[in-house]
This record gives sequence, C-alpha cells and structure tokens, in this order.
Amino acid sequence: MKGHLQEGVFSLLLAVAAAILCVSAMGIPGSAHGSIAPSAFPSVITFAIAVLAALNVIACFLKGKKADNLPAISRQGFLNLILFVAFSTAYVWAMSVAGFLIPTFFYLVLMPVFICMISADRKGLLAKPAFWARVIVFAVIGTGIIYGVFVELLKVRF
Amino acid sequence: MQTLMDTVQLFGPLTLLAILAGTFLGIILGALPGLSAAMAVALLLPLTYGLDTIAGIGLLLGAFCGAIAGGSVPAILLNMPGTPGSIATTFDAWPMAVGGRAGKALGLSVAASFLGGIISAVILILISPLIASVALKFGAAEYFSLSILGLMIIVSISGGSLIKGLIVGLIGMLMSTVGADQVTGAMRLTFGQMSLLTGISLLAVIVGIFAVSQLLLDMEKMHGKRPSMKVENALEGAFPRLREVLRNWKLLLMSSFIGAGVGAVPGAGGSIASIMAYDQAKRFSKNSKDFGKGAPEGVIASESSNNAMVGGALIPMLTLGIPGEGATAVLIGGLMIQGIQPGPMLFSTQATLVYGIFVAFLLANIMMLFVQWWGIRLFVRILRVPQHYLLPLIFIFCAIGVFSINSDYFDVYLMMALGVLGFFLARFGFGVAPAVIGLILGGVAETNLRRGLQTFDGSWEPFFTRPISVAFLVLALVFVVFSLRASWRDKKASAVSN
Repeated sequence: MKGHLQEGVFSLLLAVAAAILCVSAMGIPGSAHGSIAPSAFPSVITFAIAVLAALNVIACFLKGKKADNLPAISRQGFLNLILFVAFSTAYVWAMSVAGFLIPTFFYLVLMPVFICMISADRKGLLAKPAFWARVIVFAVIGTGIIYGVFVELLKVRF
Repeated sequence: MQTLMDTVQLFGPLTLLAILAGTFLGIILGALPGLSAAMAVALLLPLTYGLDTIAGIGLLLGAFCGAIAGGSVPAILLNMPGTPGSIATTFDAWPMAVGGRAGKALGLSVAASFLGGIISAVILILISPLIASVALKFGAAEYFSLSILGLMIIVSISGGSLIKGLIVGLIGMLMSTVGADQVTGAMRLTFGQMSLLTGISLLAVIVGIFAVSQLLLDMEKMHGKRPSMKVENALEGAFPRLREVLRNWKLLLMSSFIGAGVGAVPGAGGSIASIMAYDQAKRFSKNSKDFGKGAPEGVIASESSNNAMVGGALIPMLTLGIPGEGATAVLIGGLMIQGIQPGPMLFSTQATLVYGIFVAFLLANIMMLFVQWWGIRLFVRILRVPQHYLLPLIFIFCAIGVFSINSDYFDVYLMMALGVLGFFLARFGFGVAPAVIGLILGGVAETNLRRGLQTFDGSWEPFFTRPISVAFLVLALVFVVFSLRASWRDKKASAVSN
C-alpha cells in the first residue's frame, strides 16, 4: 500500500474513533447554571477531530493522484512494530506478576537478540559467542543500574 | 534580601548534583541523532518525582540546556544535527571537521553555547518579573483568551499541514477533558476505568507521545541497512574557546539576542533561531564568502543563538504559563507534576521558587561548560553505542518512570497505546508536539471559560470587551494570519524550487 493510502486509512480510523467518542461525549450527564455543560467541550472537540480527519482522508486521496512523497511503512516495518509492542507489553505484564528483577533481566537479554535478528547488518552478530557474553553482561549491569536508581534511590515499589 | 537568602538555601548538594546529572544526561541524549530536547526532558521527567521541587526542575533545565548543546556533537562530527536547533551548525562545523578542524569546531560550539545561555539567562531574569507583574491583573476572561493565543501556536508548529496540526492539538485537548468534571463531578470519557477518574496521567502522555513513538520509529527502520558512521575526526584542540568567541562579541551578542527573542515568541523554536542568527551573521560578516565552507563565525552564531533560545522560551512559560514549543510543553508538565502551575501568580506566591529556577538555569549553563569540556571524548564515544542496547534500555526507563508516579500499571499500558498513536502521527507527518500543547492549554481554556461564564452570569460579552482579553484574541488572530501566510509562502517557494 502506498504512503498516502496508509495515511488515508489512518485518518479514516481516526475519524471513526472520534465520531464514536463524540456520541459517547454527548451522553455525559449534568449541567452547570450560567455555564456550559460538562459534555460541551469533549463533544465539540471530538466532532472537530472527526471532521478534520475526514477532510484529511479526502486530501490524502487527492494528493495521491498528483505525487506520493510519503514513503510507505513496509510489511517488515509493521511486523517489527507489532513484535516490539508485543514483547514490551509482555514485559510490563510480567513485571506486574513477577516483580522487577527477573522480567527486566530477560527483557534486556531478549530484546537485543530480537533487534539483531531483524536488522540486516546485525544478523551476523548472533553467531559470535562474544556477542552473547556481551548481552548477558549488559543485561546484568543494566538491571542492576535501573534497580539501583528506581528501587533503591527513588523507592519505587513493584 | 530574605528572598535571596531563601533562594540560596534551596541549593544544597542534592540540587547541585541533580542539575549536573540533568546537564550530563541532556548532552548525551541531545547528542544521539533523532532524540530531541523535548524527548530528553520527557525521558528524565520520571526521575524528578523522587526529588524536591527545585532539584527536579534543575534536573529538567539542565537536560534542556544540555540537549540543545549536545545536539552540536553529531552536527559537527557526523553532519547530522542531534536536535533541530543544530541544523545551522552543520553548515560550517561539518566543513571544518572535514578539513581536520573538528576539535576547534567543538571548542567553539561549547564556548558559544555557554555564553549564549548565560546572556539569555540575564535577559530572562530582567524581563520575566515585568511581564508577570502585568499578568497579575488577569481574570478568567484574560486567561481564557491567553490560552486561545497559546493554542494558536499549534498553527505555526504544524509544519506541512494545518489540518494535521489541528487534529493533533485537538487530540491533546480531548485528553485534557478525561476524568471527573471539576464543576459538576460528572465522569467524562472514563469508560468505567478507575485509573482515569483523576484524568489521564500527564507523564504517560508525554513519555508515550515523545519517547515511545520515537522508539517505534527506530524499530520500523531497523531492518534496513544503516549508513555507516565514521567518527574518526581528530579531536585536537577540543577545549572551550572562550577567548575566540569573546573576540567576536558583537556577533555573540547579536546571535544571543536573536536566539532569546525568537525563543520568547511561541511556536518559533531553536531551528528558526539558529538559522536566523546564521543568516544575520553571514550578512554582517566581512568574511561572508567563507560561510558554508568552514567559517568559525557560522558555528558561533548558530550555537550561541540555539542555547540563548532556551532562556527566551522560559519567559512565556514562567510568566504566562504558555509553552512555546515541545520542550517547554514537557517542562510545564514537569512543573505540574511537582504541583506547580506556571504563570504570573507564581511570581507573587512562590517568588523564592522563581528565583531558584533562574539560578538553576544559570548553574545549568555553567555546568554545561564544564561537563562538555570534561566529557567531549565520552560524548563522541556515545554516538557509537549500538541501538540494540539503547532501545530496550530506553523503553524500560520509560515504563518504570511512568509506573513510578502512581504505581499503576494502567498508566504504562496507556503510555504504550499513546506511543503507538504517536508513531503513526509522526510517521504520517502530523507531528506530536501539538498534542502536549493541547493537553496543557486545553484544560486552562475550558476551566477559565466555564469559570468566566459563571462569574458573568452566562454572558460571553466580557470575553470580547475586556481590553486585555480582546488584545489577546486579536493577537491570536494576527498570529494565525501571519503563520498561515508564512506557511503559504513556504509552500509556494518549495513548489517553485521543485
């Protein structure tokens, strides 16, 4: 899909989401004497977003006929994104279940490996034992420093 | 005298250490291409939660100054501006580096950044109290009009498309309405989620939209071949060249005044300041033909103006509570997290804190000089840290930082969702800075509109008849017209050049 088409689809999703939120905002109860209702601001804002996003959809398709300067997000790019978000969400969930230390250590081991796997010029590193040793050392030191700063110094409790 | 004594007492060892740490980390983050000053401040925001007010603000101010100055390192050594404010630095610093004078360019940049920052601090200290004393007369109508003027900044920072900029600004404003309504207590767009009762976490928005979105942008491009970076320029003579910069005192003063002036205009930003200063330096220089080929004056003009911009940007932020661009919007977020609402009242109710901020800004500039002097070789090395180590570390820092504010995992998931939204907004050219400006000023606009209407018995008339309120609304209109005209001219010029 070309860049302008992707932007058009994104704008369309934005317009739909804003329209749904607008309907929801109009249902906010209550009124204030001598002033505007609590629903007024969110309703007007969501309505404006929906209209502007719809206008941008039209602009995208009109622009697309002339020239497409916007590089599209490739399939591999989308996959990288999804995997990064999935791994990171799993890390946050694991932290909520198992605390800070173990999930953070494993995240710091797995993410560099994952990034090297998807990078054209870093794949070769995976075959080198020194790389794995470096990753382990990085994960141990990284976990230790973050633990020291946030848990010991700033007293964050998980 | 008492205020001065109280201010001095604010600066204990922890505060000084916080400013030093902020400056150090700011330089490192600013030196990494792709990480803006706003992102540097956003990343360090969680650390301020555990610090006292002035130490936290000092850390953020140090990061802001440091990031702008740090942006010059890749601009000089890689021809890649670390922050937009360093774009003009590449014009002459890169030719100097190619010609074997990288060390001299770095030395000039360090000295010019320091002196530009100090000059802007003096301007900030002299002008801010005057503006704040006028602003003390503001009521709800004036604050509403002022917030509308502030929101119009979105028009000028929208870049390519006004529609896109408005959409992002409105998304920010929409986020400011989430939570229990302050007047009636009605739940607005909370969808039964208890974590949203007190509104969306400001930190989750700032970190998600600025930092996580940038991580995702980096991830998207990860599978492509990266351009190889060569940082093998000789660093001989890389020490602050204060005397050489001071010899060009007229250029230094002119560039610093341009930087501070442009910084004080909401929506202008560091890249405009440095390009304007560079242009003026070229116009008035006897060696104008050397500009673009490695003229030291070009580096002095660009670097002194982009650091002077920081002091200028603090003027509307502190006196009126208006963020001029992304980094000051994040900085206001940092103040709000500390329970401080920037604006004229700050000068009368917390004068000690205001003077503390002035001193912290001065100290941040002084520390920046020494940190850059000492660490120049280290910062050059940091450019070589592989992304596969950097990206996971930054994500963990973001996640734990956001979690630490309310100890609520919902905020972390929200940060990630906003990061994904920010990714698509940035990727499709919408920009992300207007969202934070909308989030901060949207709440101010709504609260003061509703408060004003209640005070004036439901009448809209005072908003359009009170002189200061009208003046702001007219200014907002003029601002929009000029921004649209400038944008139209730019488009026309680029169409002609194409």
